This record gives sequence, structure tokens and C-alpha cells, in this order.
Amino acid sequence: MLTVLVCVPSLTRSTLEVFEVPEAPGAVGSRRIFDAGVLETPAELDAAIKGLTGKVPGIDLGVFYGPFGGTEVCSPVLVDESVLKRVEELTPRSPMTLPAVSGAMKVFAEHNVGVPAVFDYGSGFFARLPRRERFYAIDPEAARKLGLERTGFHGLFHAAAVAGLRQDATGDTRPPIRTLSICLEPRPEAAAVLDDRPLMVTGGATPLEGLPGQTTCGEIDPGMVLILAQEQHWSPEQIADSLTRESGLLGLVGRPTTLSELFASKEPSANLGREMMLYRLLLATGTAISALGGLDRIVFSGRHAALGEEIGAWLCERLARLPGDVKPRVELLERGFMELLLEDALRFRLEMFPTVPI
Amino acid sequence: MKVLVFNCGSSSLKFRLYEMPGEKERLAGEAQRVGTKTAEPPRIVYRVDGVEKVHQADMPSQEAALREVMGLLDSLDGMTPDLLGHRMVHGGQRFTTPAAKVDAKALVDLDAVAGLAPIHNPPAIRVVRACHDSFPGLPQFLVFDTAYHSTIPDYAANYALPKYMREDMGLRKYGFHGTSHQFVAQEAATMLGKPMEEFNAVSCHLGSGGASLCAIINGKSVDNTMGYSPLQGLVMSTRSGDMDPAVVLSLVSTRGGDATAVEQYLNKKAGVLGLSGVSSDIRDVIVHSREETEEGERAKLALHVYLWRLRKYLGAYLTVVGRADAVLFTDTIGELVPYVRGAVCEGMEAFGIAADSGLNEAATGDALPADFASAASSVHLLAIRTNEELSIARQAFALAAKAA
Repeated sequence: MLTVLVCVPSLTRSTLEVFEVPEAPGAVGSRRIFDAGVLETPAELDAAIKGLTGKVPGIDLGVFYGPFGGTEVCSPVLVDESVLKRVEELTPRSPMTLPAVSGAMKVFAEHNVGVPAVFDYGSGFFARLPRRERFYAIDPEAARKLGLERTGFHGLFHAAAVAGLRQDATGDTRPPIRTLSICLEPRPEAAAVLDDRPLMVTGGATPLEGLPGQTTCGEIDPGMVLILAQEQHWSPEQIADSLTRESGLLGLVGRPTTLSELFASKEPSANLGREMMLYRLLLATGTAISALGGLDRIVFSGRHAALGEEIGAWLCERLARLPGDVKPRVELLERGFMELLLEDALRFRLEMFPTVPI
Repeated sequence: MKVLVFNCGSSSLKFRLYEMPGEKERLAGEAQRVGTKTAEPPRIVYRVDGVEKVHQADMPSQEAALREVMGLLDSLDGMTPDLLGHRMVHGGQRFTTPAAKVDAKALVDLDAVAGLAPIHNPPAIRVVRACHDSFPGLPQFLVFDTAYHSTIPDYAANYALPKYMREDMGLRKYGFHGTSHQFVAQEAATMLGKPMEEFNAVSCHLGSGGASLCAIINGKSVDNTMGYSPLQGLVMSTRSGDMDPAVVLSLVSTRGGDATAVEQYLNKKAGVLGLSGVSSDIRDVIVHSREETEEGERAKLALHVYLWRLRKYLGAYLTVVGRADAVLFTDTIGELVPYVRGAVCEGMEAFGIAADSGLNEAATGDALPADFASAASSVHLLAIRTNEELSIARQAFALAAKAA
């Protein structure tokens, strides 16, 4: 068995857990042996990492997760000096998580000398996103310098949605499998993936773009942002706050609402949010069919993945009206976030050192 | 009855005179360089019976241009209008019927929606007011680009914003190019022998400047790629189209909080121009993209982003429509650039679309309207010439006839 630390650092809400995991690749049955609960400051997280000694057996591997880590390299990556330097360089683009990620990885290294750590980040899955999808219609050089490119965020879930395909592959001659991966997290995201290569994603340069979230607006007319600044005289901070914290399902329903609550609700106030979410998912599905040239599977993941049964049936009913033969099968990926994170990082670790016991 | 249609730009005033109900175009023209200082003087270029003529005149304002046009028509035999139709870009939530008569209330409502399209609405409103004051006996009607989209359902028209922003501030999707989408949909339904009320399609208005797609079910608009403003949606000649709202905020920050500078940038210097760095015209970019140079590489990127966004929206809207009768291509790029039409339709068999490359190449100029779908296609692919002025004349005439 391996003892694996799994940490999701943030400046305001970090988690730290330790699992015992079977060592054989593909084996299942991990067991959580420690949970530090919600850690509200980086100092609390540092203390929790330092305090593990004596509470759990010796750590064999540390796994650190952040939604953003650039798109230059596929994740996860083995943490070394160059990775730490890169994370620090990227900090302005994800200021709420990367400083905490960087700090936690350093503290881990100091107190677990010689123990490998990996950094897994959602945007890493999108390193192979085509340029036509990555770029907004502005000067590409300026966009690159300012980091204003589409990256996507829930790569971990999308990678898990297509991970089995590599194992199922029967050879080079089979046609590529066309997957629409719909991650139903508080900030949902849909991605079109050809075998394991992403071709389209609803998330943008930040998680604000795309599908509406619990409190985030999703796609809006960019002109409205400027109207708020010019005519309402809102500051950029005020606009960002409203679009990030007051919008989405909260704004539509009028009170804090999760996706599962939205679909279970019988209240009239939930109707607009539910209809809008279904409609936006239908648009994303059509976009995916266009990007992929068809559709073989729709895979739902995330903490509200169970909704995939209802949403998937609704989408398939709509797709049956198309003249082409578009009949995807619907699959639910109901494993939790930590399990996905663990599996992804371990697969990487074990694939990288297939003959060296950890 | 002669219906005169005005289509007012920021520095131009286009006009066409139709004999209705026969829809015969009697005269067409444009007052150019209105209110601008250019090397060449302002003038009115017009065409009567196929002959082009030029009338020189000092036109420091839209009002002056209007007076010149009306005077010119008066001087020509049998060209005095009985009715006026005005193209208006944005009617907001105050104008949701296809056409509206100009009266005291309409003038007040026009002032209220002026800011919704700051480039297009104010000069057009000045012309409407000048007509109202100078020709009080001449009935006038307003036809709004946004009106056709008033049938977009709430779940598609709303953004996921708080109630006070959606309702009190009116931040919702209005959609644009409605007059054109409605016109080509009607033409296509007639071509295919289907009643408009049963016609399903995706209309692609691909202009040399602005562009939008419209999903049409039973003849009604159910979605449009443009939103609250004409900035949202497709990549356009100089407009960015869709953009992460956080990216817009980031651009505002990099310009020291100057939102107006960002608005100018995203409307005037982004899109095909911003991506390619060489031209705002996708036709030029197609040519440049074939060059094995750095400039060519950038043009290639611009072309790919332009086509990709178009294909994504086409797929999305075809899925919304379900069983489409046709995909419609119109306006400058849609009518004249087979390359774009062909690239957009390629690999779309899942939607029942298959283009015939030979028919597509031939579908331009005088060959329009034309269907370039192959025999294998279950969806008609129609290139149709748009005529927004005729559509406005039809709607103004219909409303006048109803009122009479």
C-alpha cells in the first residue's frame, strides 16, 4: 500500500487528506486515513502539513491540485525547482490558488525530504487544445503576453471521462471516439474530446466564461461589461464581484442553489434557471457535435454527476430530432473529486516509474 | 403607393424608393460623407432606371442630408414618396412589434433607446425627428432590427445575472440583423414552397462588417448570436465577438481603467483585423493565409478562428432547431465567398448537411438565389441575396395598409 497525501490549497479554503492506496496500477480500494477538514488560511494548511508526522504512516507521495497551472505542459507534473518557479510566474493569472499551492508544496518538501510530489492542474488537460479554440479574436501576441487565452479548468474530470478509452483501444484502426464530457461541479464545464484530445471547451481564460455556475454568470455579452463600467460607473472590482459572486444560479433563483437543488425544485423561481441550464447544455452539445463531426458518448462527472441521467435523457431526446445518426450513449462518472485526483496522479506516478517500487 | 426607406449610418444616409405592393425599385441612392471632413466633398450617388447619377451638396449633418435627398426626389418626376420607412438598429424592450408608427409617444421612446446602439441609433433618430418636423403630413414607420428577435424565449434571451441587472437594468439578449434574417427566411420559405409558419432554418448573415446567426423555428427567431449589443457572438471584421468577461475586465485594467478605450478596441480593432494584423476583410485574409510567411501564419490563425466560431454556432443552432429545412447564407460574405460557405459546411454530415462544391462555387452574383446542397444532403443550403430595405418597405406598407 502507498500512503498518499492529497491537498487542494487555496488562500481561503484548503483541504488536506491522506489515503492508503493499493500500489498496483489500476487497482481500486483507496481508504482515507486522515482528514484535516477545511483549512481557512495558508497558515492553517502549513501547520496541518507539518503536523502530519506521527498521525499517519510515512508519506510516499504528495499530490497537490489547482484548477490552473498554465497550458504549456499536460498535467500532472512531478514537482521540482522548475515547476515551483513556473507556478510562481503564473501566480497573477490565478491569484487565489497558486500562491497557496506554491507555499504548500514548499512546506511539504521541507518536511518530507526525498518524497516525490506531483502538481495536478485542471488546465493541463487542455495543453493540446487547438489554436483555433484557444484564441480570442484579439491581437494574438498581446493575448499571449497577457495570458488572455482559453484554457479550460476541469481537465481532471474530462481526463477521467476519457481515461478508459486508452485502455479500451483495440488498435490504431478503430475510429476515434467522440466524447462530450460534462463536468457538473459548482462551476460546470463541457468539453468535446476526440479520443483523449480536447477540441472544444466552454470554460475560458477564467472559469467565469461558459456555462452558468452556482454564483458565476457564465457566458455574457462582453459589451455588457463595458456598459456597466461606462454607464453605471461600476469599478472593475464591483463588476467582477457581481459577475462572480451574485450571478449564476444564485442570481436566477434569488437564493443560494446547487445544481442538484435546482433540478429537484418544484418552485416556479427555479424554472428559468433549469431551462437556461438545459438550453446552454444543448448549445454546448451542438457545438461539440460540430467540433467532433458526430458524438459517441456523453459522460457526466463532478459532484452533481447523478443529474446526468435526467439531463442526458433530455439531450438524447433532442438529438434524435437531427437528420444525422447522432445517438450517443450516456455515462455517469460518479467517483468523487479526491478519488479522481488520486487516480490521475498515481497513474502518472506509476507510469513514469513503472519498474521502480515507491 | 411609393414607399421611401431610409437606412442611416454614422456618416451616410442610404435610401430606396419602392412602388408598393408591386415591390418595384424606382430609385436607390446614398448620401455619402455626411458630417465628415474628407478630401472629397459630400455627395449623393443615386441610380434611376439603371443609370447612376451624382448630386453634389453640402451636408454637414444627417438633417441636411435628409433635406437634400427629399429635395432631389421632389425634383424628379414621379418620385415623391407617400410613406417613409426607417431602419432602426435597436428598439430595446420598448419596440417589440415588427414595425411602429412615428407619433409623439414613439419619439419619446426613441430617445429612451438611443444609447442601446450608440453608433447607429442617434443619427437615425435625428433623421426621424427631422422628417417628423419637416414633413408632418407624411406617415412614417420604424422597423427595428431587434423586433424579429422578440420571440426568443426567456431561457435563451436572459443571462445568468441577478434580477436587478436583468430586469431593472435591462441586461438581456436583444439580437440584431433581424430585418435581414426575416427577409431571407421568407424568401427561402417561398423558394421551398413552405409556409413561413412551418419553416425551420439557421440563417447566417455574414456581412463584411457585422455578422450573426439566427435559429429559426416555425418562421420565428428563437436565438441570435448577437446579444445585448452587436459585440457578442461570431468573430466579425473588427469586432471580437464572444469573450470571457474576465478578459474584458483584464483589458480594462491594463488600460488604466479606461473602459471606453477597450470598447473602441473590441469594436474597431479586434476580430479579423486584430487576429490577422493585415486586414479586416476575411477575403483578404483568405488570400494571405496561403502565404508561407509569418504574416501568412497569422492570417491562417485568423481564418481558422473565424471559421471555427462560425461552425460551432452553426452546430449549436442546428441542434436547437432539430430538423432544419435549410441553412441560409446571406450578405456580402454569405453571398459572395463560396470558400467560407464550403468550409463551414464541411464535415457537418451529423446535421444532414452535404454541400456540392461545384454548385457552391457557382452560387454567386446573378446566380443567386441558389441551392448548393448535394443530392445526399437532407438540408437545403441556400445562398440568398438579402434586401433589408425591401423588407422595411414591406413592413411599413403592411402596417400602413392595416392602419388604413
